[in-house]
Amino acid sequence: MIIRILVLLATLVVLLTACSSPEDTMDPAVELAARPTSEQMLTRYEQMYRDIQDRLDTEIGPFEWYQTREGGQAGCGTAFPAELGGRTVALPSWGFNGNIVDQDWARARDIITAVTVEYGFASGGVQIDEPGRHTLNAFDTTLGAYFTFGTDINTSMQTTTGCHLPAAVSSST
Amino acid sequence: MVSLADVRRWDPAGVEAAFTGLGVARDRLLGVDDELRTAAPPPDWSGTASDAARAEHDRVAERLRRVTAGIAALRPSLAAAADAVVALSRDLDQADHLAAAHGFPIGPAGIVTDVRQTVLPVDQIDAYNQQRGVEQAEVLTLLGGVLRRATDIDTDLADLLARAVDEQIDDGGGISLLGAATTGLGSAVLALPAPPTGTPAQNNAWWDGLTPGDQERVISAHPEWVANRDGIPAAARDEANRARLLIETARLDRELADTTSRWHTALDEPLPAGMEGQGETAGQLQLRQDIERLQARRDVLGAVATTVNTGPDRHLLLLDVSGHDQPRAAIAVGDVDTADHVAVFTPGFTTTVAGSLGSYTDDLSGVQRTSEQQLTLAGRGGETVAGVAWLGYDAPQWSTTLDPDDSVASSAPAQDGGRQLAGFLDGVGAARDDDPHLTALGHSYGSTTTGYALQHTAVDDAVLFGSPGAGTDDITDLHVPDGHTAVLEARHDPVADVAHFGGDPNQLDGVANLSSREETGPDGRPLRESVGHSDYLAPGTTSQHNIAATVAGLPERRISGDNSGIGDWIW
Repeated sequence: MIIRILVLLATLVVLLTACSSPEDTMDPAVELAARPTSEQMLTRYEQMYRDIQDRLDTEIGPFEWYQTREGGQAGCGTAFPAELGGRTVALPSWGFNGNIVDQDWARARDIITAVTVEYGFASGGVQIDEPGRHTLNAFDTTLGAYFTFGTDINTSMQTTTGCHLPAAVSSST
Repeated sequence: MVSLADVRRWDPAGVEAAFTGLGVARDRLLGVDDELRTAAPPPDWSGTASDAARAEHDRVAERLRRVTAGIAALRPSLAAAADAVVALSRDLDQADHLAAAHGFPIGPAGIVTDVRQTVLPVDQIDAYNQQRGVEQAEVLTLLGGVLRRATDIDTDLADLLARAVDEQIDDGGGISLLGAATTGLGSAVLALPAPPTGTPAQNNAWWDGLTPGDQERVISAHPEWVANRDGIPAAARDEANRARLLIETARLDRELADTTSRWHTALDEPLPAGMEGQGETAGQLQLRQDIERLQARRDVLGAVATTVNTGPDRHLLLLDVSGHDQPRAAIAVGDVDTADHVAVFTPGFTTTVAGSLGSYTDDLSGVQRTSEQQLTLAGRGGETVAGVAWLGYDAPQWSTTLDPDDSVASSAPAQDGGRQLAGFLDGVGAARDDDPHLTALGHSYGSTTTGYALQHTAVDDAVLFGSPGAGTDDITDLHVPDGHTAVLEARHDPVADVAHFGGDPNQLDGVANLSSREETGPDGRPLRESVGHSDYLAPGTTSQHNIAATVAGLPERRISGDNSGIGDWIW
């Protein structure tokens, strides 16, 4: 029991250290204001969707794309103080019924990776590559954006922006 | 249509006087009940005269029963109306103060005008107008609520009065005045039955027993009845809590302004002789502390408003800023009343409403999206997911570390929180006609709270991550189906190896150990790992993938892993 209590106390110290914020190198308000607006990022990522769809249709498909889920928005978590008014925006998901067959996945993955790299993403996170089930995740670690593409029984891709100011807020800062 | 000027003129004292007068009349009527019965013509009296007497007695008796029934219906309705008028007056007062604070005077006809003159650079005008629009909308929302309720009260009471005057209130067709009074009570309006102090199922039964109009009236007149009551549908709780958020914010703003004004005045008080230029008087100190306390509560409300207004799919299911040691709140992402899958997440040590509930709600937005993405891929794109960030207990804080009862080393806060959480989890199901797939998520000390909750109530799945223990070393104590309790333990997460509350959960018999680790993909690329105590819900991590798959009811899509850490070899 004594060992447990000692470990618990040590844990508290670790947590205290871990929870202490490191010295910021840049004013969050300045950093956020310097970023493109939410609307600009949505326009950019919508174009990324179109590029992915066009290339997959041309080189593997065509596929009957439709919006599989609505989008939404959230705050910026711990990335920026909430009072700055930043938002992360989930774009609507797009996909199609059915899957990309296993023998086409490597080609599809290369296409998706090539396109997303052009938009600042790098592959990372959970990557599932099993017969009949494939998932690719990618991140823009600079802006905090997240992209995921999966094909299983159905196929769907989804993008969440990093933290950006809405244009109305950005213009006033 | 009732106007704001009408509402300002309404006087509850007049309504209360009518209530008292009707009480006297009712007592007199019931006092003649026996007399009326004995005045009936004797049954052995027959003939023309007896027929006429009997007909007249029946006519008088019927009339008295109708009048008695009318009074019985009116009296509680007037009492409720008096209460409602007081509440309306209070809310109108709050609206007046909020409007004044925002620079939107309310005209006699209820027209809200922006009188604030501001000179701004051109590039700030849009943002300024947007902010002014939000402030004006807050005022209009409060006024709209007052007018809607006033109109409802006026319409219902006028209708009842007309029916009573016309002797149209149902008297039950009996023979006694007491029976007529009892039947007449059933026609009362406005007299809303207060909810029972019961289980979530009993709370829901009470709610379902109300007419839709009464449900709306409860939310308007008594939002505190339903705002935090488990078993009430999320939509109603959200509406009630948003109303309370506005009213409480206006009240605190007013109190803050008043206290600050008094503090400024108090600063003119001279310090005792010999202390000139240093320190403050007891009165100044008290006022300054009051301001700090009020400002802290105001900050909580501000954080809640910011979080719940971030997205249109968010709902405020719990709000209590003054009833406990720590402010409490719960915010849902998605529709808890209709979602196929509902997750309730309980955070732990150092979590506060003002400081971290917002970011946890954002994390749940991510889990919701990942779960729905997985459902789409699994061919179940029609299914929906909702998540709740629940902070309905006093999570241990650094400031309570040395308090043996409230410390993070004590199980007491988790046990108490577990009972609260169990009620909330029960309420999710009780508020619905169907049975959603319900998952309890607990992080850190919140997983211990979750463990205690699951010893009181059942869920379909549970995920404990970064857990110092589930409050038991016997998995059968948890009301979770076999194989549906999962554990995640990230590398370099010392809390997950503390095993302080019932042993290390990863060693419970039958627990599903899921991976948080870095995996190597088939092409050799490194995959993202959750490292440390606070990264489990980060998008794209193995841990978030596993949590989302569990929430979506897709256990076959989870990635198993070995959760043994250094602590597993110590104990």
